[in-house]
Amino acid sequence: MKKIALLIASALTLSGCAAAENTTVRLAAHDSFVISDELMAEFQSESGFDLEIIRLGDTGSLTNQLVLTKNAPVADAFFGIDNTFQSVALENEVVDGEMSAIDFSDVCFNYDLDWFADSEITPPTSWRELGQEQYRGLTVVTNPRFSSPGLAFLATTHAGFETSAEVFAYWRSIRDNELKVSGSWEDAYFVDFTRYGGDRPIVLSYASSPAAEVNEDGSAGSKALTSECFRQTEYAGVLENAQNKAGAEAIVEFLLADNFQASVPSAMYVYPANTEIEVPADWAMFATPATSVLGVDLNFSENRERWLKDWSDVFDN
Amino acid sequence: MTTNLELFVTTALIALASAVVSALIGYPIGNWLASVSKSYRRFVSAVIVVPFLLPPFLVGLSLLPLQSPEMNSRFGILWIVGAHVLMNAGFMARIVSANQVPSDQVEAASLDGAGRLSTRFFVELPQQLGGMLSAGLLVALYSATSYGLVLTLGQGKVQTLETEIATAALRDLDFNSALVLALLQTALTLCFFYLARSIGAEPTSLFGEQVPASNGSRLGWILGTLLLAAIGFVFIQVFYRAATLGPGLVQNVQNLGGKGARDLLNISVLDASINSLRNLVVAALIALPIAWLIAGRRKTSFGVLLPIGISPVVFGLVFLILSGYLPAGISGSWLLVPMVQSLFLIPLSYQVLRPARQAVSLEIKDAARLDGAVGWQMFSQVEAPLVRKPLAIAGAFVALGSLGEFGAASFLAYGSEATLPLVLFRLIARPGAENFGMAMAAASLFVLIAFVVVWFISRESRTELQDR
Repeated sequence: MKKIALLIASALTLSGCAAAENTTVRLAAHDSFVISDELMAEFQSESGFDLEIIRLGDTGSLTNQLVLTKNAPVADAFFGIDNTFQSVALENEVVDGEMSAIDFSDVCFNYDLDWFADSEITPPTSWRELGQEQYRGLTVVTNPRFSSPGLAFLATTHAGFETSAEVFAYWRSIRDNELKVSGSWEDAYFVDFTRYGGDRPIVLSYASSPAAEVNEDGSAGSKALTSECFRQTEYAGVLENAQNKAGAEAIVEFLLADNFQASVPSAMYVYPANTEIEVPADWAMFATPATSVLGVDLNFSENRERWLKDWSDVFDN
Repeated sequence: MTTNLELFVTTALIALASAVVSALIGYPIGNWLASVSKSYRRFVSAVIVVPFLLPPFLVGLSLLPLQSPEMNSRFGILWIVGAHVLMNAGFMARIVSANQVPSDQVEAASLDGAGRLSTRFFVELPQQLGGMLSAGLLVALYSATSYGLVLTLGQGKVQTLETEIATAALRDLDFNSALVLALLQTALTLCFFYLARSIGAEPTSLFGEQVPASNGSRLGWILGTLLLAAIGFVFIQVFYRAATLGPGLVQNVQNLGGKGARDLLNISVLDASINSLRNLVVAALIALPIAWLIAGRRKTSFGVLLPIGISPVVFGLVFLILSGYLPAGISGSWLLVPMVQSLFLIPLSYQVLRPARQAVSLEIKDAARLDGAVGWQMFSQVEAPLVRKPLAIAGAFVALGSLGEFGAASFLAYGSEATLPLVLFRLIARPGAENFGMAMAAASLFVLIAFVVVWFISRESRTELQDR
């Protein structure tokens, strides 16, 4: 018995020996977060902290893992919880202080211009048309459980119809029209979208994504359906129980500062939250914001679980 | 929406079907195995037992490339049962071959005019039934706790108690539902475990000495050859895909030092392997000495074996919830994973070490004590040399069990502390040949290591201690 106790005590002592690294600040982010090497070096030299980025999947996975590890968080700060998952983070008290808006973008369907030109099918003009026969097997969306564009689009459909029955009917119609549901935006865009070798020319993405698809001759490669989109805002903040709170505050401040804000259009294809920052003109030409938005006034906290359950009833049976 | 009862029934049916089919196939193979020549027997025994020793997740990963991506849940269940049979038929065969009826009984029956089939069904089978039944219940238990395999081969379309515990806790953050499911899971597996123990199940004769049997089995020869071919096919296609998918074998292996296409992973596969090896060492340092000490006690301890009857997913869930109440230094520490793993590795090693320690003659130990041997001396110079093989087997079980452990790690290992199975799962969860090629390369290495370990400990020796 004494020997067993000694063994356990040694193990526990070992764990205490791992000293906290306060010269490193850990930023938890989703898989689509991009920061250039120059900006990382700038942050590190200005703040004196080394930056470690920990990617935790899509926005939903990121939020869930931060909630599950809130007593001993895997990071000091986060980037990428958006207005659709914000209620989960706030209800579970994972944030120390306020969440700061870093960028915004509009969740809209995009379609491959070249593919439609070759196919002689008239491209859609609205998400409401995707249940029509000529678009059978052409669309890919992302799972709203984990993907913020997926949840944003789910919210859009709830805001776009008067009754639940109409929402159900719409989702059933696009399901029956051979809709593909991908695990994440990364998979949908870079694997399933026809511009990257996939078989789906209509992809749920952002109003700014066409700026990444400009052909060599300067012509547009894809187009967004910019009516009735969802405006998504992404936030950053300090995590409750962060080991390096000073470092966390420093990185959040850096994300709000002009240099990082100016980088977000070309790096992540989103608009900076700081509206005084000028976006590149040629980028803005192809990355036009939505002409109309739906769903931003919805109560995500109250309705999220019910919408997801209803969606599961359509897709998981 | 699947109800808790449906989940319970699905899990129980998968477990029982796996056990029954494994027994039906394993029985004739075991009888054939006992009749083949010693050198050939070593090779066959090693190959058919490799899938049993591989982590369920890895078996699922190896079979995944053979599945259609558009598979539905019914086929998913068939694939899962098939994978369980591939894993456990060899184990059943070994149990049967180590429990052969003495040849004089068989000869006596033959002299009395009984045909081969009659001898098999009326003389041999009744005596082997007890061992097979208890082994079958163990197979049911293992099949009810193969979370990684169900997740991989079910492609998210097959729901069992374990997958829904993970969904409720990790995806929906609904710990109340997760705990209810965990109780149902524990009730099911403890039931299998208790029944198996009460009939006298001991899986330790896996590497025991075998009594050659004269009454072979033609059916066993056919099924044994098919099983060998199936196992060979599964692993060869893993090696093949490692060599041909994505950028090819050399690049796939080199990519294990990277983070996957588009930097999918937080840490490289190599770093995750180092995490897993580190966890293995700590788990072994905790589990083996504790199991050794308890195995030396006079009375057999049932309590120490109890964790075998509980799913690692349930352990992971319970410790995830508890970590909210532990000091941050412990709950956020990487040590939590090996500590939780050791909870079910201790009984695993105990099962191997107990009969070994009990069989060391008391006279030898008393004589050594009279000569002044105490503590470490008694272990290193008296007992250990006599039980070298069971120690190696226990070490192998602990090593392979910890390295491939998926269920508990899913709940407890995050960010840069991810383990090898978790990063492999992330690689295969994303479409793309480059990531899949990396996963196949890592799986190939794991299979080769497992085969070498099994080959090494399959050596039969005269000082073998057989478990009854």
